[in-house]
Amino acid sequence: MQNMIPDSEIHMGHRERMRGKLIHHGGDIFDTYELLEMLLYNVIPVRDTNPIAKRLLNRFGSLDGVFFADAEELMEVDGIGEAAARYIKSVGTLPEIANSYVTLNHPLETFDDIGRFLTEYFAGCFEYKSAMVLFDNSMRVIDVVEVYRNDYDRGNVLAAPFIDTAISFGAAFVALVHNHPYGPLYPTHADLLTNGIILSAFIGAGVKVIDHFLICGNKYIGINDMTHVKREDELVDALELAIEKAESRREEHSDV
Amino acid sequence: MRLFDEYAYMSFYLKSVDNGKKGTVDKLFKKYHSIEQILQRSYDELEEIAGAQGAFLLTLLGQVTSRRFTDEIKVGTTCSSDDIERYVRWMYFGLSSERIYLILLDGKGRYIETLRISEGTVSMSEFVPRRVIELVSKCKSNPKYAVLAHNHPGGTCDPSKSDEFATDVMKATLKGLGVELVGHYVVAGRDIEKIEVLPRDRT
Repeated sequence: MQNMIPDSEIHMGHRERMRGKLIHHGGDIFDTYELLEMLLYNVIPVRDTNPIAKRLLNRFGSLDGVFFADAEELMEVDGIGEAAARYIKSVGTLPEIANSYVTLNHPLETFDDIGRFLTEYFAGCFEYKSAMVLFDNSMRVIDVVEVYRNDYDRGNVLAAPFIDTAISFGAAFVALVHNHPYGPLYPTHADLLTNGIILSAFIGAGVKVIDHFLICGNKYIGINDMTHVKREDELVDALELAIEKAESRREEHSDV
Repeated sequence: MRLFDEYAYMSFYLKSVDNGKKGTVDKLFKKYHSIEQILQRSYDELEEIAGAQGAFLLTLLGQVTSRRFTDEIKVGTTCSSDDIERYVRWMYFGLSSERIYLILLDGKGRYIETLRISEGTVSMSEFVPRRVIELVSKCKSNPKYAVLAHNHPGGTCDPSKSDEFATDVMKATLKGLGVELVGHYVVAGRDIEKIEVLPRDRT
């Protein structure tokens, strides 16, 4: 019987079909050599990468073996040039980069850990800043993001940038922080008002707020103990308590 | 330093997208901030920023890296609980959807195969015991032990009540097939939590 498809067209659209399968069904349905074959599309745009992928796996035994091999060894495989070897080597460094990310992030387990961390963060800063420490679910710091600069003291602070940042980083917990570079070490009435707005927005967003830190020089306080706040009605109590605390601090300060 | 490394890595990897311009990489980091976060996004989310070619490459990167480490365990490999934990962690690397897997082991703790039970959350609506029975009974290698795993992409790995309930249902289902459930892992990003499966009540 005559072959209906000419040999030259057998592989036509092959790459598109493979891409479609990966997008719709995920990587589970592919053999390891097929995943490697697709990876090589990016650096070998014209040739059939299927036999090259198979040769690589035969030579080095596994995908890990391929990524672990020297560039010179990779170039000994038929079909792998200098650019492809460099590409494979660089793609293989992803876990190192991911792991360095993990080790850089150490857990901050107590209120004082976070406070000390933040005094270091604000050391030498004489501008008014509002920032947020983002934690993952193991209390490792994902990042510290500055949300407002200078504007914070003027009271025109919105909750939306805080919420957007926390959600986009995938944070499970956050610690709010702002500084009073020239004192005092107690929250102003505007601070408490802003704190309430941001906190209620976070409760709605389902992100837990550890506390709102206020940094002044090498000293820090938590504006309120928010660890127990889970519902809107508890928030009102917590804010009232915070206002009372702030008032008493203000009185202590004026006595001094 | 970290961001520079990640940025340089991604720029190199995606250099064929938008002809080597940095626009795509800038947008990706501006929105998702790290490679880990980028690789956990769905194809559709990535396509909006990186286009079809970029989204394909990023999806592929997650899958290739996952396969690189899950391939360390082959059929017949004797698995310790640490091996299984590492295997499960990498199995979910770069996955944006929730999936349930069942890992089957023989009587000596040697790996047989991994079955994809379903996509969705581990709850009664998604986890169908009949499907488990069909898949496990097809396995000809005489499985004796099984490990259940599912993920909470973007969430925490704290097991929910429905996770614990699903563990009990799965345990009972497998018991009928002569297979003992020895663990249930919940994965969320880099974190992994094991739900202990209590021994059978002998009374």
